[in-house]
Amino acid sequence: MAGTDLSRRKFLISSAAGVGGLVIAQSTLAGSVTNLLDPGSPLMLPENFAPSVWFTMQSSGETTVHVFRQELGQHVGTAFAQMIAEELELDWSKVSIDYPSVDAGIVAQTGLQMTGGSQSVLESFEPLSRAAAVARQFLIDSGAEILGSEPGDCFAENSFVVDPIFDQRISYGQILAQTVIDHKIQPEELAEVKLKARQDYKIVGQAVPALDIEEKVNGKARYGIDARVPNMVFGKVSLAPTRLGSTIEYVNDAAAREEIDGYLQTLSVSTMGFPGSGERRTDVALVVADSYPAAMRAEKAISVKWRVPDSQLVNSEELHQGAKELASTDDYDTFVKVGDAEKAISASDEIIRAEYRTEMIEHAALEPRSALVQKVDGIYHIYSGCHSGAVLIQSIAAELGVPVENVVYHPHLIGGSFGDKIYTDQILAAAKACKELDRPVKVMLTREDQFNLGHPKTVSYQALSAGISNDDALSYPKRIAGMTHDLVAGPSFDRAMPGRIYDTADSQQATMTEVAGGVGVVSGSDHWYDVETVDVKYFPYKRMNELVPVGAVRTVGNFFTVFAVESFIDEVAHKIGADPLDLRLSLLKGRGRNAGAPARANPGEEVLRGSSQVTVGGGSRLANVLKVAAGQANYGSPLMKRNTAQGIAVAAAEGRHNPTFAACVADVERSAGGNIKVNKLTVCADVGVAINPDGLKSQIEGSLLWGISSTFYEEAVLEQGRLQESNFDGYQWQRNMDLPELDIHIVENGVHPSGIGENTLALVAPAVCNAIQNLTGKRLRSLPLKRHLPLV
Amino acid sequence: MPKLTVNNKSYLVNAEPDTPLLWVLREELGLTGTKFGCGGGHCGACTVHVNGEAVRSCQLRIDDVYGTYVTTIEGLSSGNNHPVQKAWIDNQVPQCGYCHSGQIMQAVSFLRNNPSPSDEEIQGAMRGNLCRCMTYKRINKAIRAVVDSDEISEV
Repeated sequence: MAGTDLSRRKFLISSAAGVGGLVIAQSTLAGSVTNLLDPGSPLMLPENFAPSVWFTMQSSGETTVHVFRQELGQHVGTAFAQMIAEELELDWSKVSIDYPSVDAGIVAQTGLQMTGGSQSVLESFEPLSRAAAVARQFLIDSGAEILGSEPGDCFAENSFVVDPIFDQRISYGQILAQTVIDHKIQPEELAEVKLKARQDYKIVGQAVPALDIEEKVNGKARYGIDARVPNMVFGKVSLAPTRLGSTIEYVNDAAAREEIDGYLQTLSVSTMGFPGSGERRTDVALVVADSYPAAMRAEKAISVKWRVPDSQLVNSEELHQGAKELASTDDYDTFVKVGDAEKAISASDEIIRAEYRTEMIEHAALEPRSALVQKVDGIYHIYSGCHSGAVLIQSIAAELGVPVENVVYHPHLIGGSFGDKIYTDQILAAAKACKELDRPVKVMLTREDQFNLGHPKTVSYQALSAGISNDDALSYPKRIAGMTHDLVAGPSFDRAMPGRIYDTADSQQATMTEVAGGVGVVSGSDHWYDVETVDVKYFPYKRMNELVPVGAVRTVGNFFTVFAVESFIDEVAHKIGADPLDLRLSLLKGRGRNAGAPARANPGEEVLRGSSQVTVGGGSRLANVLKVAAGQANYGSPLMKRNTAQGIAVAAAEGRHNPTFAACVADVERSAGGNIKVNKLTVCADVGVAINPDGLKSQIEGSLLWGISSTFYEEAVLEQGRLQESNFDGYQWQRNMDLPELDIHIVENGVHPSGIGENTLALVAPAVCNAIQNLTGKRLRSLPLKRHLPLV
Repeated sequence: MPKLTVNNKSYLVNAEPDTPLLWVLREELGLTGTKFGCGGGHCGACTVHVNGEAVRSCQLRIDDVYGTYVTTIEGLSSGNNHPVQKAWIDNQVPQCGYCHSGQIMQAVSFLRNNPSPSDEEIQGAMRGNLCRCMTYKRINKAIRAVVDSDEISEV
C-alpha cells in the first residue's frame, strides 16, 4: 500500500486488497457482485464508475457519455465526448454516447438543459471538462494503489494509469474490474481541479469521425417520427383559416364516421408552441384514427366551423406597414447607448440614412414535427424530439394538471430543427389526446400542417443613420460622429434582454437596462465598431405576435441586424470614400466596451479560463479574422474578372454572450441577363477552441448555404392571416445546384470554445449585397434578393 | 391479401389501394429508414428503389407496387458496406441525417445507370433531393469519391 489517504478523497475503494477486508468477485454478468465472505448476502455495489451525471465508465473501461442536449444534426454528442475523453485521458475507441431519458430526478442533477443559441459547447465545456478531470484523478489514485505506486508519480494516458518510475501500468478496465470507485464528484472538487492547457490536448482539436454517423446512413437512426408503441392511434391536425385567433364553433364528422374505416373521433384541442412564452394559443381539430392514412382521409372528410375574427385577416404588406409605423413611436427600449448619438449626428456635416427590410423565414426542417405520448401506470411518456426535455416535462405537466414527476421525456433524434423543435404544439396535442382517450396517441404534422402551423422568423424593419464629417483630413473613426439603429421586429420569447448604456466610447462599465422581449431578436445590433456615439433602439412588434407566433429561426435576429449593420457600414464607407475593408479595420480596435474580457486578473498572472472569457480580445479578433478572410480571398486583387466583384462582412454572432468572431468575403458575378451568382464565399471564424475541426467546417458549410438560401430565395407570406406556403413547391430554398465554392478557415486563441451551429450564417446577405453594390452601383436594402433580380 | 416484396422478403399487406407505398413501409412493415418529408414528391426523403429504379414512395399507390421488387435503405447492404454508404461515412456527410436514406438511394440508382458522370450530371441527378442542413457539398464530394474509386463497379 503506497500510503494513499483514502479519507481525504472521500471515495470508497473496495477490492480484494482493500482496507475494509471486503472480498468480492465480479461475475461475468456486469453489475452482479458477490460478497465471497458472505455469499448468502448479495452485495449491491455499483457495476462501474459513475462519478457524475455526464458519463459512466463500465468495468470493462468502456465509457458512455450521457448527452442531455438535443442532437439535431450538430453532432453535439461527439463534441461532448471529445471534451470528456480529453480530460479523462480516454482511449477514443472506448467512447460512445447515449441520450438518456429526462425526468424530474434527472433535471435535479443536470439543471435546466436547453439546446439553442449555439450555446451547448460554450456552456458545457467547463463543467464537463472539470468533471472528467476530477474523475481522472480518482482513476490515478486507484490505479496507483493497485500498482503500489505513489499517485503523485503516476499519470493517465490512453485509458491507462502509468507509473513511469517503476515502469508499470494498469488499464482503466483492469482497475475497474478489481475495484469499485463509489464517489459522486462534489462541487468543491470541480472548482479546485486544474484543466489541461490547449497545447496539451490530444482528442479535442482532432477531426475524429462523429459517433452518430453510421446509424444515419443505414436507416437505423430513430427520429421522433419513427417512434411507435403497441396499440397506438394516430392524430392528424385540421388547422384554422388563420395562424392565430380562430376558434372552433363545431365539428361535423358524420361523413368520416360513415365512410372512413378506422376513423375514431375528432377532438378540439387548444395548443401552443412554447408554453410559458406568452405565446397565444392555437386551436386545432385533432382527427384521430387507427392508422395515419385513415386519419389523413378522415381529416378531408370532416368539416370544421371556425370563428374567425376580422382582426386576424392581415397580409404581409400590412405587417410591413405596421412595422414601419411603429418605428416612429416611443414604444421602444434602449439596447445600446454610447454618449448622445442623436445630438452628435444632428451637429454633423452630413447625415446618411438607410432603411432595411426582411421577410418571414420558415424553419422548413425536413422532418415535420411529431409526438407520441403514452400513459403507463399514471406516468406520461413522451417520445419525440425537442430542444429541452427539462422545459418540456414541466410545461406538459402543467398543461395536463399532473405533477412533473409524472412526465418523462424520451429523446429521439431530430431530423433538422434550426429552431423548429423548440415548439411543441404537436406534443401538447398528443398529450391532451392521450389523457382524454386513455390510449397512446401519435400526432404527426404533414408538410402542409408544418408550414401553416409554423413559427417563422419575424419580419423586420430597420432604419440606420450616421453623422458624417466632410473633413477628409480626419481619420475614418473621427469622420463618423455617431450611428443610430432603430429595429422593429416581433419578439420570439417573452423575456427581457439586458441593455447597456455607456457614457463614452472609452467606457467599459455600463449602466444596465432591460429590453422587453429582446432575447435573440436584438442580437447583432450591438456591433463591435468603435463608433464615437451609438444608439440602438428596439421596438417590440407585439402586433405581429397576435397574428403569427414569431419563432427562433437559425441565427435569430443576427440575420437581419447583421444584414443592416454590415450593409450600412459599407454605405458609410462609400460615402466617405473609404475602402470598406480599411474602414472596418480602423473601427475594430477593441476600444472601451469593445475590449472584451480582460485576459488576466493581474499583469503577469496566468490567462483566465472559463465561459465568461469567451470575449477576450474583443473587437480586435474581428479585425484579425477579417484580415485572414480578405487575404485568403485575394481581396483587392487587380486580377478580378469582368462582371465580378467582392463584398465583405464581419460579425460576432450569436451575440456578446457567445461571440464567434467571423468574417466573410463574397465573390459574385453578374450574368448577361442581370442575374447574380455567388461564385465563392471565403470565411474565417475564430471559435476560441476548435473541439472538432471537421464538425465545425460541416456546420459552417451548412450555415453559409442557409445564408445563400435566405439571402436569395426564402420568404414566408401571410395572406388573410394564414401562412400561405403549403409545400416545398411553393416555398423556395437552396437545392443541390448553383453552389458557390466554400473556403473556410478556423482561428483559435485557446481560451474557451464558442458556438458554431449558426454563427456564420448572417454574414452572407451583407457580404453579397456589398459585392453587388461594388459590381453594379446598386444598393439592395431588402431581402430576399429574388425580388430584385435580374438587375438590369 | 396482396403480397409486397421488400428487401427480398414477402409481406402480406392490409391497406387501402390508394395508400402511398411510403406509409405501408413505415407504418405497416416498420421500415422507418424511409422518411416522410413532404408527401408531394418535392423533397426526395422517401426515395426507394422499385425494380432497381429510384422512385418517390410517397407518390406511389400501394396498388401499383404489388408484384414489383422494392428496396429500401435497410436492404441496401448489411453492415454499412455499400460503396455509397462507405463514402457517406468517409466524407462525414450527414448532419441531422434525415434526408440521407433518400439521398443514398437516389445516388445508388443514378450511379448504376451512369457510372462515370460529370459533376454537372451528379448535381442534375441530386437536385430533387433536398437537404435542409445543406450538406450538398459533401453529398457531391462523396458521390465523386465513389465514381473515382475501384468500388464504382460494386454499386
